[in-house]
Amino acid sequence: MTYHANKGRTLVRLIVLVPLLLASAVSGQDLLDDVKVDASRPRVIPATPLMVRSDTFDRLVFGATYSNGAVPVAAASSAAGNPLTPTNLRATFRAQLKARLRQLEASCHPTPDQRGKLELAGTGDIDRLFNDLEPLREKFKQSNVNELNELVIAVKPYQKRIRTGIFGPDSMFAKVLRSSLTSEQNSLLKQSDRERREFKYESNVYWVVSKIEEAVPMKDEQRQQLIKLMLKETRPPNMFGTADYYYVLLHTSSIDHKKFAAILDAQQLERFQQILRDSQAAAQSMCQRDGIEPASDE
Amino acid sequence: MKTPILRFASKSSGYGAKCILIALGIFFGVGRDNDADDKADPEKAIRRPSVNRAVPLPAQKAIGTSRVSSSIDLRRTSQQLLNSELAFVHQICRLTGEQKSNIRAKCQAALLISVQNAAPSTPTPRSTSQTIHQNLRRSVRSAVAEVLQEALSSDQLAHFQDEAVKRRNYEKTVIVRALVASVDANISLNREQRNQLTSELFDNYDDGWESLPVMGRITISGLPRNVIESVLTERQKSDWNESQASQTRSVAEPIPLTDFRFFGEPWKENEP
Repeated sequence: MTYHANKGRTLVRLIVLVPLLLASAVSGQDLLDDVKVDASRPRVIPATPLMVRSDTFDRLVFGATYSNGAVPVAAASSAAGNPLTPTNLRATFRAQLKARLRQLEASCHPTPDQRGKLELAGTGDIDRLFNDLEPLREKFKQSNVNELNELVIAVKPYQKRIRTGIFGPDSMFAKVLRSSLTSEQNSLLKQSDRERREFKYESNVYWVVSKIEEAVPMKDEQRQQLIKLMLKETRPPNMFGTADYYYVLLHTSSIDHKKFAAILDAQQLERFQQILRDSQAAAQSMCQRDGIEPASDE
Repeated sequence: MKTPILRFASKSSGYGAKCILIALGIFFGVGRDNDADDKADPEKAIRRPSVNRAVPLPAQKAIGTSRVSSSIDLRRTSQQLLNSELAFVHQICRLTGEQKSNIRAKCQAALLISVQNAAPSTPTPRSTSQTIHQNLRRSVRSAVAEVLQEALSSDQLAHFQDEAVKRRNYEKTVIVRALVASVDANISLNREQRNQLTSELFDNYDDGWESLPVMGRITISGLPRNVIESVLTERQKSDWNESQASQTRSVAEPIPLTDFRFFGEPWKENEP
């Protein structure tokens, strides 16, 4: 019974298949030709207009970026959850400028004239950034998927500028600062900046050791010795930001490993070195990308 | 559900090719209900290399996931935390093989209950990984500490408790220093003020600070106003209020101090 049923089913299949094969032959198209045509002809992706949210450009440029000196993040909207708009972002940068001016006032007491010039220069830096971005913002609004890559590349220098601080060494603010302060004010400012940087760096080292401890549990004595060694043998970075964690690991890895061996036991040392090795590539790449290096005393 | 042959046929441009492929599709089972097959035999669905899988893979159910809508895998995280904590215990107390297996078994059992308690019953936006991680860590440590009461000798226990207190103080110091550095970046403290604020915040420590996004924009509004203001000058107080009013936050996903990196590794049985 089953044999006959199967035979019948095969017959039906053949009845369906044969005319279709003939139809294919008549149409003069070979399956292989068909496939070949597809492979040889480059597929053109239609230029579909890409509808982007109004804040997408700002997220791309300002997202996940940090300013110099660990002053609040550039990529920001207000804490009240205001939308990410150029106006809100400008407000964020103005807050950073104010924080920097407060640092100056606390350390080197600039005159009202000096303060005015610095504020003007800082505001100019903010305006310049947004003015430079305006043409890109417009282009992005009218772009399609094919242009997206191009735009991602185009905004990279701006991302870096924001990440490393728009009041950094190349800014108008920094130039005015260098030219307007007296030598005495300069030395006061440097001392204050150094102290602040050291405190921040110390807190970063404490934090990194606490993370390392998740894989390398330590006794308190070992922990304190390790922190002391790391603080003694490494120097704070020229800027703080997203690479803080990796910066510490990168520079810790350059310490003579015999010094670690004096603190950690064999098993701890093996895991500790593994962590340092695993982080090397990422650490080097992140620090290189933003020019993060040990801060000079000058 | 289309078979791969039919899918290819619908993409092909040639009429003849389409015909052949459709025919082949019929020949090898057109309209075959994979969904039904998969429902009947989920194992088969797993084996079949299909893009549009009808039946999801059997979920790796984590402890407590039914109570929390979070991406954090509670079972895995708690296991990592347990391994980390046991490694700490071993580092301090140099356990014997027997103690190790005894402690591990008891801790595993205790952990099941702890993890369920750590998962928030009502998922909220704040029930994110950092809060859960923090709760889990507390639960795991407390479960292990309880097991150790019985499992360790009195000397070992005293040594462990001493080190555990020191570790906790160190963890608080890490958080407090990060917070002070953030306040400092905003309102420019001098050295004495930094030290004073560090000590004040340590004395008034709040566990909730551990879930603050320290790596991003610190949510300094979470800090006690009276403590902060007690170390500030009048001018700084005004600056502080101003900075609070214009407080900003990171657009990027904040990186909480407790979650940034986790190195938890298995506690190997052949460890010394």
